[in-house]
Amino acid sequence: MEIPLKAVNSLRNIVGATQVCTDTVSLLLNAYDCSRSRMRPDIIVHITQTTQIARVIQVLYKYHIPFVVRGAASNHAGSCSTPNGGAVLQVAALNHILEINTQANYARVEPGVITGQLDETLRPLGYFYAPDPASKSFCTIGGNAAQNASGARCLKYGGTLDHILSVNVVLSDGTSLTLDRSENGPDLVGLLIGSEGTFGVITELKVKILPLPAHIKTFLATFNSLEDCISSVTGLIAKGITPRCVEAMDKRTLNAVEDFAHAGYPKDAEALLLVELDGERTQIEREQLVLEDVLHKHAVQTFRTASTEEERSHLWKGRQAAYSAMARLSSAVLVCDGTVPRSELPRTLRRVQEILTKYDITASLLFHAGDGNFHPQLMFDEQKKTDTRALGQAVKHILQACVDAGGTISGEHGVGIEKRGLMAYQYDRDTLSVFARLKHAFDPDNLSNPSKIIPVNFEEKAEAARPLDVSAQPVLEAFLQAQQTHRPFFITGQNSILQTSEPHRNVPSLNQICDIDLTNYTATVQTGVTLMQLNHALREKNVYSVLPDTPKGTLGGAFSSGQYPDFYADVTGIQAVLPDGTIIRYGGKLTKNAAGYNLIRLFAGAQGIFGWVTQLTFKIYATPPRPLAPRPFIPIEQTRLIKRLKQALDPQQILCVTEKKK
Amino acid sequence: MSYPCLEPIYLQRHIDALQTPLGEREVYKSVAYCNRCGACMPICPTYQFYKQEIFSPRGRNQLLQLALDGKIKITSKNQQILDSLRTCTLCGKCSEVCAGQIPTAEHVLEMRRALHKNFLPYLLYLFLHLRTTNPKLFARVTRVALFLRKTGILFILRILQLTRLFGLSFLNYMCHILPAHIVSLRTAFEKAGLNPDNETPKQIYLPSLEAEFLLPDIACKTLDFAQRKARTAVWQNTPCGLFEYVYGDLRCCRRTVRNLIERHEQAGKLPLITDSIDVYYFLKKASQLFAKHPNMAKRARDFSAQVKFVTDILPTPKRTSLLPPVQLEYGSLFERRSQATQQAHQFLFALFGQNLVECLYTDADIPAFGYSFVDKKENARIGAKVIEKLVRTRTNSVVALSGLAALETIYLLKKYKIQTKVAHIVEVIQNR
Repeated sequence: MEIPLKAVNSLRNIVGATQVCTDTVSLLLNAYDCSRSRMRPDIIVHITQTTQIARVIQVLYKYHIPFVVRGAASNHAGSCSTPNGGAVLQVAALNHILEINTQANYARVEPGVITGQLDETLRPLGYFYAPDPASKSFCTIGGNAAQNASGARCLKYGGTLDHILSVNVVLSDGTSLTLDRSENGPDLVGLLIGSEGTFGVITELKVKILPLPAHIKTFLATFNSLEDCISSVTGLIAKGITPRCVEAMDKRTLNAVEDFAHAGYPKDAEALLLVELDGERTQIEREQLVLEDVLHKHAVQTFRTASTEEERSHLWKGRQAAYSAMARLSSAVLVCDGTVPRSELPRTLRRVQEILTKYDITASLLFHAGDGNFHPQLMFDEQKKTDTRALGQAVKHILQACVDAGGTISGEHGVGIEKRGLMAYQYDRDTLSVFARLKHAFDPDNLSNPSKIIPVNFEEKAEAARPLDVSAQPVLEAFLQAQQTHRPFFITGQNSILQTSEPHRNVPSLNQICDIDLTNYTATVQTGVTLMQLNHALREKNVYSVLPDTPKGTLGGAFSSGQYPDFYADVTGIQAVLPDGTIIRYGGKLTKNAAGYNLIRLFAGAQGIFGWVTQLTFKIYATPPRPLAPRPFIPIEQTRLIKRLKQALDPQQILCVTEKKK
Repeated sequence: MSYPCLEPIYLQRHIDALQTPLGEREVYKSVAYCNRCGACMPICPTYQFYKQEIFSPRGRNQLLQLALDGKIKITSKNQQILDSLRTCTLCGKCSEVCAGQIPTAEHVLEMRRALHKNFLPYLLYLFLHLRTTNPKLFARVTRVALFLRKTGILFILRILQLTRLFGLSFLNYMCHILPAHIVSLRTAFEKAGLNPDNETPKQIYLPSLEAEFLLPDIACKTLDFAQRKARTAVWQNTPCGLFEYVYGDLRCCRRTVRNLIERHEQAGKLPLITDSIDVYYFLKKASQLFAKHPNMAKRARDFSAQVKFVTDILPTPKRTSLLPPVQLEYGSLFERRSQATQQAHQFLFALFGQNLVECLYTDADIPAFGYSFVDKKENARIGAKVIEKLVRTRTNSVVALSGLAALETIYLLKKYKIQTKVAHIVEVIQNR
């Protein structure tokens, strides 16, 4: 597209003449990232101050120029490529750590701050920033937030999503907003994180920082089979232990890595596991005993311990060199990040090996065993068309195999443009249409990172949504009736929170505990189940949830009322119905999912104003966690953004909104 | 299989195959190994400042890739390309952090060769080029220049700003960085009681340009240590080809290296010691100059195997008492992770123990091998960051691995009025 000269001049006035580039060389050098996509933008704007962003976007909005934000451009999904041309906003210069507050445990940073740099700055203060993507020495926090990146520590500490407290964002029309987790209402910060810049541009982040663990101990274990390796991880979690990291690799990778890095890994093993425990010394010692016991029960072949920094770094040497070992062998390496429920890992990995053999592709296989997230590193020659074609097919089949196993096409790399076609395989038409509606609510002119995440023509490509269970059918009936009678209503469970006398609906049949999975440690429960019933059912199976045993209240209420915000991090899957009958199915028994907008966070704390949550899948624990204390119920404040979302998801205003008492 | 090249009609002016840590690779193949992951970006001194892709190692590699694919032309008419190639310090820090160890500095040199541009002031280039083409004349001109400086004539020319008039403004900077008093190498050897002309040597010392003409102390100390180990002959005023490799014509560089190899073979293929880390890295990869001539490449490999850095002849250090904090200045061309650098690090660690200050990997190093004449502005900026590093780490002294790096550091410290001492690694033991 052609950029009007007036727009170029306006941009030059804002950021300075030397910071705006339209020459061919600069455009070509901003046409790529770490993925295979190469798409040339029409103008590059180097942002040097956060205050420039809103002004730049206002100019782009005025001239209807699409834009993409670029930090380190280290993503693997083509998230910062520009298929429609337009502007690239380069924010790498916004790399200032604005504030570190060790009393309130937070840091305020600009989006271009390198993740590892923040960690290095925090270390002397005795703190750390938990998300640790493998690329943390060069990726930016803004990029991590856009992709909801995570790393080896995700199992214990969670991904980027769980560590962002608030964000300043500029929407595509140039409006500046501050979204804060501490405010009541839907978790819009959670919705924004992982949206790959399609909702707007993050200009500042407030992130959670944690005190450094007192002690860390690393263990290496090898097994005769991949199944033993995975089941030992499940066994460990079943004992109530959440390791700091659980990293694994298969035999082929093990050999390649050992040949290259000489980390001392036994080459005869079929699978290798690196486990790291952190905390107080006594706690680690106690957990080590359990770990040894579990590993021996699962036929561990070799077991080694490292407690000093030197020993630990030696054990990690091989794992950290895995990418390098591959990068040296091939001119190009593509890293996939399919994720499946932990129990499905061995079966999926076997399927992946079959696919790799079929397409004659050499790859290493690394995985975050605790999360079910695996990274096949596929070697190919970018210059050979036959190679790239076979690679494309192999990647497609690998990711489809993940979806077939109840997983996702992306655990931490995002969808971007590379995987958006597969979104129609993972999600049904209804869920994808909700994604499209959300995108429209945030960015009606489709200017902010367009053509990402949502597949083209998904109405034709994606399958129709499966009908709801019989028990959830009354929800649809209630919506239909309200549409016909034009009588809006509140969604209630026991009406214990709202205690409203206005029209409200309750579906008593939503009272089933669908599944308690003792392998993946998840429970799938309908939202009408009371917290008493839920906890009783869990206790019968010797598992626990973080929700308290209150006499009143349902699971749906606990999730939607906003009284238990810390519970959101435990929710891994959701089923909901919109007032127009659109059925949403998102997530599942997955620890992480970076494919699509986080619909769990959209409904979390939304007080039922967008739709009816019918079913939730959430984490359960082998040992009783500290139950969450409820916060007081505060009705949602209807901000402009919430009104826009409400308009997108419930245009007929069928669901009532609680009025804030004055 | 033939790969695309930058100037098909001037193949001789370009490298046929690069010697990378992962084997020999044609330039096209070498650059194709870049996965565009961006690991090299935060470490690059120019990207740290500009924050623009074109000033990053990834950008420079992609520039070469695009040129080889015929999508852009490397031409001096494009200011962006010129700036990108000029600003690269060739430090090789990017290769160090790269998983595929892509030799970006070599790629930049390839593009500079396609531009037929060396970015040095023209007269300075002619003067230094003379060392390759006519070393005797070069020595005479140098002596005259040093005489003019000693008598103050050069100072008067500078005051009257006549140096600018004759295109000699680089002399101003040169006068700043050169030591106040320079004695000839012969005099220095005589003073130290060293004999540089051993008829039956067991090893050869090839002094770098700076050790020979500007810092004879380094040459003396190197020869002293070398002779303590074995009989050593000094090859005075012998060009090694590095200057032509970085700033000149590759054909001239090949000739020079071939001459050096022939002389080395005639001398009995003895170990060849150099006091400059830049020369060491260059000669270690001499065979890449002759990739198309297997016989010559083999001879070059045999020659490279005999090249040693001064750390090989230094005596094992003994720590006696607590010494003030010291820092190893890694500033060099092409790479930082070689065995020689590690040896230097181990040597200093043995001597200084915990007082050997380790820096962050993103910290700046002194730009090497005449970068200050290529891009004065950028050099000053990086210099300021080096000072920031020294102040932050409260380093008492800096140990450089080449005379040029030592000279640049001394000037920088003088400019910022910082009391840190600078020494070449051979000077560390005696200076104690």
